[in-house]
Amino acid sequence: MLKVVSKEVLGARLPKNIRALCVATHSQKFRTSEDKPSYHSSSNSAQYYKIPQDIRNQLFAHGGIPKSYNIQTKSFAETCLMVREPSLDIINCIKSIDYSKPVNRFVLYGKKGSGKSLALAHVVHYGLETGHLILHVPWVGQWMRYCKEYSNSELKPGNVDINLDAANWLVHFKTQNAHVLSNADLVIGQDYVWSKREKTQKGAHILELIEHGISRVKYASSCVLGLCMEIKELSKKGKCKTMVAIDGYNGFFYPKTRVYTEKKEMVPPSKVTVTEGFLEVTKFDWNNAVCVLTVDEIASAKEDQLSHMPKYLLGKEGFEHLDPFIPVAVNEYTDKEFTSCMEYYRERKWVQPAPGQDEELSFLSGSNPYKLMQICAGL
Amino acid sequence: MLRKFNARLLQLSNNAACTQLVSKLPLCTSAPIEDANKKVVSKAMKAYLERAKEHDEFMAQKNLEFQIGKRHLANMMGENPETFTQEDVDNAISYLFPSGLFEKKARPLMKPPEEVFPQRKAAEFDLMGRPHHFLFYTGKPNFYKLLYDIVERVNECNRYEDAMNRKSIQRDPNLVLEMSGYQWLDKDALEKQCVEGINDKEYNNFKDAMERLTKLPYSYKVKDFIMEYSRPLMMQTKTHDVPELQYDKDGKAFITTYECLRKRARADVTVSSPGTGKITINGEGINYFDDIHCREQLLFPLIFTNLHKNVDVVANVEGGGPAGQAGAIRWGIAWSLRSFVDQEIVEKMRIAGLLTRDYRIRERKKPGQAGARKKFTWKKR
Amino acid sequence: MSVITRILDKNVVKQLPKRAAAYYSNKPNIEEDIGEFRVLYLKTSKAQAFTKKKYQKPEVLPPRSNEMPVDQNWGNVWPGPRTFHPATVPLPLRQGYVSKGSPPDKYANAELMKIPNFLHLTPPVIERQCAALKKFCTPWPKALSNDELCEKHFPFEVISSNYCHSSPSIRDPMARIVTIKFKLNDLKFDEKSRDKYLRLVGDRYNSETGYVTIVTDRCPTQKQNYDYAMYLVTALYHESWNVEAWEELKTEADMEKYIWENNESKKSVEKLFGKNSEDIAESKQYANAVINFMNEGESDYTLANYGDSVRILLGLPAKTNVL
Repeated sequence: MLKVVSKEVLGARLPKNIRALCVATHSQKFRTSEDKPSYHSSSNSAQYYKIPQDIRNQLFAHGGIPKSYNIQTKSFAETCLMVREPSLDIINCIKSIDYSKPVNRFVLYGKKGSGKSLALAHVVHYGLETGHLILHVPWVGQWMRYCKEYSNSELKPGNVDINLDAANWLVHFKTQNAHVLSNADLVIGQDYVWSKREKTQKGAHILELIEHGISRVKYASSCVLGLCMEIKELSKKGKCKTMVAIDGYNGFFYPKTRVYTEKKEMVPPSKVTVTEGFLEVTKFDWNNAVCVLTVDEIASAKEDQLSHMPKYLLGKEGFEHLDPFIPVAVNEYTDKEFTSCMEYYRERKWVQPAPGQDEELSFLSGSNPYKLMQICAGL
Repeated sequence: MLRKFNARLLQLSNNAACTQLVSKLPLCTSAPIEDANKKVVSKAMKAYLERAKEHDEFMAQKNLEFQIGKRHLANMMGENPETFTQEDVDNAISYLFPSGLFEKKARPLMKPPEEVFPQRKAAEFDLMGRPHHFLFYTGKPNFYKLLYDIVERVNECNRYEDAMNRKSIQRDPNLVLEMSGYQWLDKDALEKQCVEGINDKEYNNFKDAMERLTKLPYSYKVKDFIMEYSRPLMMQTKTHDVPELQYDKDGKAFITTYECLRKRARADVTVSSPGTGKITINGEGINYFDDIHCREQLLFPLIFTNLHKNVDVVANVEGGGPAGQAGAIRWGIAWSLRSFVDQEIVEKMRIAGLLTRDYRIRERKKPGQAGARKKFTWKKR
Repeated sequence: MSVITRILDKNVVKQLPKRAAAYYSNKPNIEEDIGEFRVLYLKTSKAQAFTKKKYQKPEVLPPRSNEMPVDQNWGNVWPGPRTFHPATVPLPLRQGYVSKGSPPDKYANAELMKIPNFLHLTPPVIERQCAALKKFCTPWPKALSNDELCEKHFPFEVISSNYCHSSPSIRDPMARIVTIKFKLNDLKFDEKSRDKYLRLVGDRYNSETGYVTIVTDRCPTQKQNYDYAMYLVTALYHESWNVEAWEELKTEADMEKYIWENNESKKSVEKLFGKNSEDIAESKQYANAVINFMNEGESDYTLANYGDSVRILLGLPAKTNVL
């Protein structure tokens, strides 16, 4: 109805708010006002939805949205995600899983820049909305290849800690799960002895463990490991339902890292303390949870980026660890998604409209979302 | 050379009068003067005749040699000498003397002497020394005769026009001569035709005269004459015939272009229609090229012909770098698209430079210089 | 005085007209030339008498090609490969590129001598040579009428080269190399022996064409190399059928094919469900999907199959296709 009105009246001088409404209806094609992921369905496919600022700050303050996309959201003054088929597929599956059964593992895979991390972000938002405890690792490569600091582990001799990163992650975890952690039921099941004088008692609230890790950076990595184990136990008991979301999971299996021992020898991921925790958490020997992982070429070194396929990236070991898992492909933009993206850019005044633009750009970018973003940045 | 000869002849003919006079002098103890009845042949004339005879004999001898040689060749190749044509001769020579020389004129040949030796004029004057051609004394009789002919035609056309105007008949516009696709005979061909040397000024004169003739309203009356001295402009698109579409087993039309070269890259491109605009390069999509300008190169011919949604492209490329490969594929796509598109757009493509094979190669580095063109720092001292 | 005048008369006066004539006439030799321009000769005839004796060129016989009959036997004239000789070749050949003028003729033409010629191999000569060789040949067997039959009856292809030398030594070290090609499918194998054979043969097997190529050059003579190659073929075949004791120690990592039963995948599934794989429903199609995935390599298709089978196994909804 409003559309009809706008056709007749668009030229005339209108008060601003009504004009804005007219614009809004026109833009309904690529935008949806539904901002709760649990209500997203295939009818919303290829539409953008806005993440409210407070939720965004809660979830992604310490990572989770890729850097270049982050910059774009600042330019656009809003955080919008496109609802796409892979994340809809996973959300659909999650809605139907039986939480008494062992954990299901979903693996998002796709070419570079096809939208895996953002699909994961969408699923994380869904997890928040449905009250899951979110165990979200924004980017494994950050730890394996660009770690801030490494040191020999005290509590696990032979391993190497990445304490500063671990501490940062604990902060991230705390902010993400502020609403769930307030639940008093979440208590740890065993003692953690840090040193002669420091000890976290059995039966203490999980928050204490986290706080300890944040304040005593020296034991942060071990805290992370402990946290993972505890969450596993709690989920088994049914105290909370967990969602494990890890971006760049293949980083845990790639043989080369930039983490070194104090003697400057390279440390494989299996010798890094935190790895063990996340490997435990992705096994299927617990329930009341769901794992959503991505495998990304970028997590490995450039000379080994031969294929984006999960088996190649995970390697034999990783594949066997995860098998059986559900692979979910994240492909390039379809025509509808592409048009939607272009409409969004034009609406945000990011791109000057020009005839034949869409076709040329779809050709040039190969419909790759990242490439499209790069090209449009220059237009 | 003939000119000098003629000049000398003129000189001699002048002096002939002198010698005749001198011969009447009492001091000269030469033989008594010939009878008036007997033909008076000047020495110069005699020399000329001798030379002409020599040339004829020479040509006859060469012809004989050629004929005998042809029979010998037929015998060598085991063919019938009676039915041995010039084509057979050429084939036989290229069989017996395989030469890989690039310039075809430099390869061994066996041709009739008329084709090998430059033509000379027939006897230009008779035994008396009187020239046959009325414009002989211009030095270039054939050429000037041609100009004379042009003027004759101009006058003819003008007279006809006057007659038409008197009868108040309008010119039929359909019969007007169209010379847009033609150019005049070039200098070498004209020289060959006239068997005379022509300099640039005279050639330009000729061209101007022909233009003048053509521009006349009733020039179609002398169309044959004009056509004799004009040649059609060869359109480049005609020199390369657009290939026919081939059809594969599903009934899809496709064209494959092999040997698409650019710098060191070599590609072969298959364009098929109907399609969706899918591009495959060496098995990968357009992501084979990382840079945008490489991808834009591929886009250009498709957007230009507006077929980017209607055709599929499959390319195999090897060698060279990304830009070279992109250029090679682009040329391949454009070359293949000619078959899917009509003549007008092919012309437009040619003007846009899509169909020109870019022959630029990396220039070699020269010794004594830092690069191909860059020199070392020039020191004055 | 009269003597002097007589002498004078004899030498001067009577000769005066002659001398005057000589002085005034055109040339020393006066001819009947009408219309001739008189040229002034300042020098006397005597001065012209002493000219150098011209170099007498030796007498050259006319070229042999002039005497050649048109129906001669060319093979006898030019029996073997030889540089071009203009006098012997009766063709009026010309070669050379001159910007103005005609190409130079065959006499003293270096270009014609430089290029290779096949005057010794004209078609009639070749026919004659073939006819001469024919008596050493036997007719092609009728039973081998096409390529397939040839391949069927003669599966081995032996390739060797022989070299001719006109240097101090007539032997060429490259002549010892022997190559043998045959199709792998011509040999009988079972699965295990075929795998063993392929491992033994390694790179020499081309999976695209299906041919095994064995090149031997380690012996000094061709015969020895050939024998060695034959030995290799036999030995490889028999070795592949032999089963060694240590072959049982073949681990999962050595396997060339993926067998689901031996692998982690089966164990994971069993652990997941806590039952044996036979009891789990849908495990068979899952196993097949995994086997395909592993053996044929990753691709979108095999991965999608795998994904679908896992969904069925774990009881999750199938993938929705959103257009």
